[in-house]
Amino acid sequence: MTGALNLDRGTAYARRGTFATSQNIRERVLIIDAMSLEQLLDEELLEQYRVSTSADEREQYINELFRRNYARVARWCLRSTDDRESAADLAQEVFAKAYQNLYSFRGQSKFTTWLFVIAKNHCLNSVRAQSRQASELVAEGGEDILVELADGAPSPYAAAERESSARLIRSLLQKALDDTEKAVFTLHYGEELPLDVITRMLGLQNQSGAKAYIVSAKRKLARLVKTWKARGQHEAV
Amino acid sequence: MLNKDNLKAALATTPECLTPEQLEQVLQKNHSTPHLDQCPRCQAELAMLKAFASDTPLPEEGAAVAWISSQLDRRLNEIKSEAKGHAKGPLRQAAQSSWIVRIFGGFSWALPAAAVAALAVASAFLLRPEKAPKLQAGLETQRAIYRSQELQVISPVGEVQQVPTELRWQSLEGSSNYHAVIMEVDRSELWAGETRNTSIEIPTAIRAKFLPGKPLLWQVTARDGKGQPLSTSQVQRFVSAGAAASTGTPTK
Repeated sequence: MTGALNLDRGTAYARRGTFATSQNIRERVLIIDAMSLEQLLDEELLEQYRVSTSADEREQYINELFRRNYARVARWCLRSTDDRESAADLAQEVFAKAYQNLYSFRGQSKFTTWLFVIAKNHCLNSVRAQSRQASELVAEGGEDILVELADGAPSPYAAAERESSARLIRSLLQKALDDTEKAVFTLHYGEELPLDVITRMLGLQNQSGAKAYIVSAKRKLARLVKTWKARGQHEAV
Repeated sequence: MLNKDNLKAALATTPECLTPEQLEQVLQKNHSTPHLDQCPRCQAELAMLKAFASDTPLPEEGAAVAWISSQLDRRLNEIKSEAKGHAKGPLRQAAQSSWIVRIFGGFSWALPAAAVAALAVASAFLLRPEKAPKLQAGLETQRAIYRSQELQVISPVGEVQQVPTELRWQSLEGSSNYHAVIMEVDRSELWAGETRNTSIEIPTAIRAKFLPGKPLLWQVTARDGKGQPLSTSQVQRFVSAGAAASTGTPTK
């Protein structure tokens, strides 16, 4: 590695905790000397990759950047597919996309967050393409929630006439469900992800995984609707 | 009316939803925002980002993650060369200029000098006295392969809308059967089959592996009656845009 620049190593470390804007990454890169690749932040590796004129150095920077993120992307893809061969292919595609778009990274977030967006979108598209989610929703009784919500004259349905139904539903979820239930509910009904994928993706380690959260979410929502009906609090939502 | 579409709309991203950068800030500083508190979509995104950022493997996934990582390391050059073909802007420029930089480094004068030298060599070659080519003994005993005898593939080639159900190629005179193979982009064999026809059906189990956007390769070899290869097609690349067609009843 060439790059013989004077380094104020203390300054470089001192700035590490700060939010990495494109400008201060560039400044830091200029004062970094012979720091080993392992010591560089992801964002610094990427900046070095961009500014280096040596093809060999560029290779080293990008290889290091990708290698330190292999496990993270591999884990995500594995959780999306539950099959290591497919996951390896998915992960390869994620890194290919990342490589294609390296110059669109503006340093407004951490590199891993940027990579997360690519991995998430790619894997969710893949999962959706493979799942027969529409039939799953019916089979799992997803519609009964909607029936509950829409059922009866003095009900939240009346409120939906005044407010957008989207706001109503969000409000119901907010009132009834805890954070994990909301996340599972959103990914299942909003993203159309199968429950086993959600279980792995969110790292849920309870015995029945996401299914347990969907069951409890539906139960809580039904209870809430029932309470409203009993009290006639159509306006409460 | 509340229906599935309304539910999906309620759970979709809104203009007020947090950007990935904002979610990252929430995660780092461990504080919430009024919108986040009210928005199941943002909470789901945050849960996913948290899971992605976490280095803690789930039980029994460590070995698979290590295997995938090793595969990625093995395929790293392939990832980059594949991506360069699709790159835009500076990356493509860098890719195109990198070989020049690698060969000539900082010697910018070397490129025109090399061009002049190449021109001189070419001139010397073209201006040399012509000699009649020697006749090759035993030429008549060798089997001549003409361009028209190259095995030509028909489909799938390039980007296809649907997942292909079969491989098709043109008939080759003198061939007894054909051996077709589908490969991953690293040339590892995904599936192979033999037929006497000029097409072969791809098994459903294999088609299920054709993910949208995932490039695959295939090649066919014509063989004579003794099983000797007569001609092999070029390796064809294809990418299916759509998902595999459902072939059975959806299950729970």
